[in-house]
Amino acid sequence: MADEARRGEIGLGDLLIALDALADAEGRYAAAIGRCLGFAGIDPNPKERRSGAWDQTQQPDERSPERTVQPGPGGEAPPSQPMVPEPPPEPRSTHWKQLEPVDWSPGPPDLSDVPRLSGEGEPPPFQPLLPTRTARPIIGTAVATLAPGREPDIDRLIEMFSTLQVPRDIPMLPCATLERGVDLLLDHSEGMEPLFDDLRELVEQARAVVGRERHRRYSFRGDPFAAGRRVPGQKEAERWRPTRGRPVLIATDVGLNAPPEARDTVTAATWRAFGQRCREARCPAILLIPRRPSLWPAFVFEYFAPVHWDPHTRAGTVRHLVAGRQGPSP
Amino acid sequence: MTTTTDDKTDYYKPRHPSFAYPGEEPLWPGDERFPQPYLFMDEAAIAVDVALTIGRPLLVAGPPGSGKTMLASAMAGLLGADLLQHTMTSRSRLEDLTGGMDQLKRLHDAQAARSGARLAPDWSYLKPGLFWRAFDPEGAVNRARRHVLRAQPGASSAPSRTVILLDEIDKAEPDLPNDLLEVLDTKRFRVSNGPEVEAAAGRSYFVVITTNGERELPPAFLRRCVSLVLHSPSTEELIDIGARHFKDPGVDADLLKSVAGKVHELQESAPRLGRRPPGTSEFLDALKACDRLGLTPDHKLWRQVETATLIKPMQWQTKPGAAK
Repeated sequence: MADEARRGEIGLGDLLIALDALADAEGRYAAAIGRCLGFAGIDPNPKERRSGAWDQTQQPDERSPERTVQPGPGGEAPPSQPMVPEPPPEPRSTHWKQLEPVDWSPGPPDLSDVPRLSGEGEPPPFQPLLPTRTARPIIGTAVATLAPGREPDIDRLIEMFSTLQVPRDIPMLPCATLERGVDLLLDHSEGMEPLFDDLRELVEQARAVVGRERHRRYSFRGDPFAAGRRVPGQKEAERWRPTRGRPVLIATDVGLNAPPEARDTVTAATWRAFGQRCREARCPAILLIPRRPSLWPAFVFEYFAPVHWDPHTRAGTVRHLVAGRQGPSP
Repeated sequence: MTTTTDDKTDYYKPRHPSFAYPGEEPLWPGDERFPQPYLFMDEAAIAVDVALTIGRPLLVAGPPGSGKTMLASAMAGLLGADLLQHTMTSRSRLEDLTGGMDQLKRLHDAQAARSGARLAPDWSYLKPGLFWRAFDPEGAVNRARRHVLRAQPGASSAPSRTVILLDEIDKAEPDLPNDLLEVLDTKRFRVSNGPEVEAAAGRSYFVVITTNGERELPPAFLRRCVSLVLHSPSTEELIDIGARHFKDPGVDADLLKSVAGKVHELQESAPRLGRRPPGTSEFLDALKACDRLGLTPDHKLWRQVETATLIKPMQWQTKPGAAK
């Protein structure tokens, strides 16, 4: 056992010490020693994180795109379009216009001097809207709720003593916690189609921050009231219902990218009603919007904590945005 | 009929002087303090040996039931050490592990003191945490009357070695692993409103931290730990584990093989069915149930045993009666 306390990360010195002490003359165990010291890419984190944004993390029962949600009892939700949890596998082209062929009378341009990409034929590396570097603090800040912490609230105590109140419990300063988890509501409408990979990555990022057991993932198409998810062992998709005090992170363009014919189905009134429903359940509702803030409709500021889903967003900005908008803890 | 497993002689033999098996096999056989036997696979033995050699915490990841916690108790048995364990929850804080002041009790006593009761000294309200008890057991009992607590070698009758198990660190808030870095590195910390506690030079510690992969751990934390990822054992390894676990009295060899085969089948089909694959502990439960009840996987009641010990439908079905 180690008798000395040391600081810092594991480095080459540790590797050399371990190899010198443990590897045999044939070096049979050198690779294993290097692996457990982190020199061969071993990662004790969940393996789905290691496979990146293109992984196969969806459960088999989540793959079917044909499941629809039955209307919930009570009819309290506004009319909604049928919900399909998963996006269709093929890109849709209904709104692309066929262009006339271009007359290249002078002949095609000479591109011989244009530098070629090294990985010709391969897609460029995926760059998520929330880069790995900032995703953790941003998501952690956005979905954290307040709970009584460990530090006494001295100001409150002084106030109580000065007004001759005998405290039954020591008032504690609140601290941010992720223990309530998060409901992820992902907008798989047509306008969000270019961002489907980002939605998948967002699920992984949230799962890494909040934890596998504390996040639930729902999908909807434009109308957040229609959000649902597949549950193993259940034939019908489970509709989203607010869980008191549990934050809701909604990744959506709030209809900004929707084709003209779809814009009338989900209106500002729908979003206001949804925001009101979250508020009644005391669920902090955070909107993750990929369009620039100057385009955001007014309702996003009324009921939600809107966060720009953009690589330039910083945790400090998110902290400022969500402060005071998440309401008191239930 | 009892099993006889083929003796393996090409397993990794630990080289750190503190780490030695009592017999010829890579096995902790169990004793009164830590009765569960533990079979060291090569990957686990190498990682433990490396962690002991370079004095780093051992971070053990793996699916539930893969033996992460058992590894710590087996090491405590092999090292002749105390085992101090803390299972993390979402409410766990650094103060739970180091120590803190019981402010509520102190305030209550202060109120009572106004009516004439004697107020206890401040140090008596200190609550020692896991690291305090590990670094300075005597001081943790006597609280802190000195400004800096530095445990004296030999001052305690407890073993001079301690295995510290921080179980399921992935359940804690994301910042906690980073909060632990300094304590683990320097083996020194200051208790809020209390003394500074420092580990004695004569005592030695082996820190085992487990994670189920519920939540990602910070890179800075990972870079300070020796990593061990336990995989699901193969059928042959399961048979080996089962045979050693139930060595006295032994388990029927055919039963061992057939239950291990069933477990392997379930492990393979689990991802497709959206279930959690059974781990080593579930295999041992099923084996024990079959052995004690006189059942085999061919018996008509096997499905009941399988459901109760290996499949556990409550983990993946939310509607009662949905299992068919």
